[in-house]
Amino acid sequence: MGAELPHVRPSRPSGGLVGGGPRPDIGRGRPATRERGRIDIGSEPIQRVSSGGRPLPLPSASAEGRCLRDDLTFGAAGAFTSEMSTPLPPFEEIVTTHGPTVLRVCRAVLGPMDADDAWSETFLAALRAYPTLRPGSNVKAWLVTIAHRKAIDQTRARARRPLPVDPLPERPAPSEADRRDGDLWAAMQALPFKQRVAVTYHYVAGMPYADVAALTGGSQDAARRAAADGIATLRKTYGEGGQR
Amino acid sequence: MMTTHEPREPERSDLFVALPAIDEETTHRLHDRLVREAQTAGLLDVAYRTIDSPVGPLLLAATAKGLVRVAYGCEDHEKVLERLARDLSPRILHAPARLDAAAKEIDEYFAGLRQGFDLPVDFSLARGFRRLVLTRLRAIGYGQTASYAAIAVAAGNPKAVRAVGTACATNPIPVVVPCHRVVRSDGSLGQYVGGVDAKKALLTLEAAA
Repeated sequence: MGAELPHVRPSRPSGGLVGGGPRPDIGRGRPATRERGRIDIGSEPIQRVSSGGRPLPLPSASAEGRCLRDDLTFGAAGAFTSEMSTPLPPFEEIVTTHGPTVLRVCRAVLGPMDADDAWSETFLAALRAYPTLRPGSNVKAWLVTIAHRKAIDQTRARARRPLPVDPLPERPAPSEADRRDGDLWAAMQALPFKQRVAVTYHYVAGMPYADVAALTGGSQDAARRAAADGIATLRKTYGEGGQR
Repeated sequence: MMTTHEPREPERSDLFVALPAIDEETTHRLHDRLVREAQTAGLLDVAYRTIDSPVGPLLLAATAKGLVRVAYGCEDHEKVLERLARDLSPRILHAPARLDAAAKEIDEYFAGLRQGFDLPVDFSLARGFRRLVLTRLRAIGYGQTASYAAIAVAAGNPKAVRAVGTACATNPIPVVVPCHRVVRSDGSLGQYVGGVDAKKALLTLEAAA
């Protein structure tokens, strides 16, 4: 029906991404108000940072960064305003169920050093917006969407600050398991941003390419290609699927 | 656009399948940090923890105002949390620290070391007449009992004996708000949220002191 513009997602996400649960009320209610492109913002910077390994510094990142606040996107904007017929589970349950996946996503996209911060910011933002989430939503995709924006924020911030010569000393020492993953995450970091997120959202978060494309912008085929290219590189740099 | 066949992509890439689970230490560290930051940001609407007691595990939940819920095991803690999410806020986290004082006082109570609770309580889960009844219960001292009829009188509605029974049966903060001290006029125990055995246990504990 409503033709989807290539870069503007409808204000009420329809695909499996968010709010995609089999709810009877899904088709009614919300007038077709677009959210002045807010939902789209998350995907925009990717195009700008995708020109090679390191992202380019973005001049107005701090001002724009404010627009990326998830409480606005998911809360006040109303796209996920619930009608409270099916109550939301306690947030603790969300953390228990999805915390590990989101941490793996953060590690894959940002590397182990920045993953803790991104995870914390993601869940704090999610907690803030949670009461307005439509019950029955695809919570994992919702969290990955927030994490994606945090990753973009951090990637920009990283581009602005000089690279540290040594690992920051006050970080908690990585655990044994973290160290074993280290090689893979390091290989991930070498991928271009677009490939890295496509690989991560499909293979680490287990999202279908339709959802990956909705999140990163571009077509489903482009997302599939980016992931395939990323995997091909990883096989060379990380090992012939060997290691484990 | 509609491709029916998935082009040859590496299914469930073996690069990722064997990644180990996130270890417990990391999980705890991140959870603690989330609780801390949520508290600071004013986003921790309901904190909860469970404690062991002679009458089984008790779930304790608190808002910023105070203790809002004490639940017996027979009430099914998972269901209780779901109802708290619906009735108060879904911003609920396992956050024992906010309940340290409550846990300590309840422990002391069961050890026979404490006869009254000095805790802020939040009656948000009780409304109207039920709430009024609960506020009257605090007047029944440790080791004492009162009849449902007497509480009805104290609440200003002598005919509302049955409603007093309902108020006690739906007391969201049992043990601390002593609905166990309300018994039938004929001296029999009557019902209790935590089951009659728990009521008996509390009254026996208090009688022994």
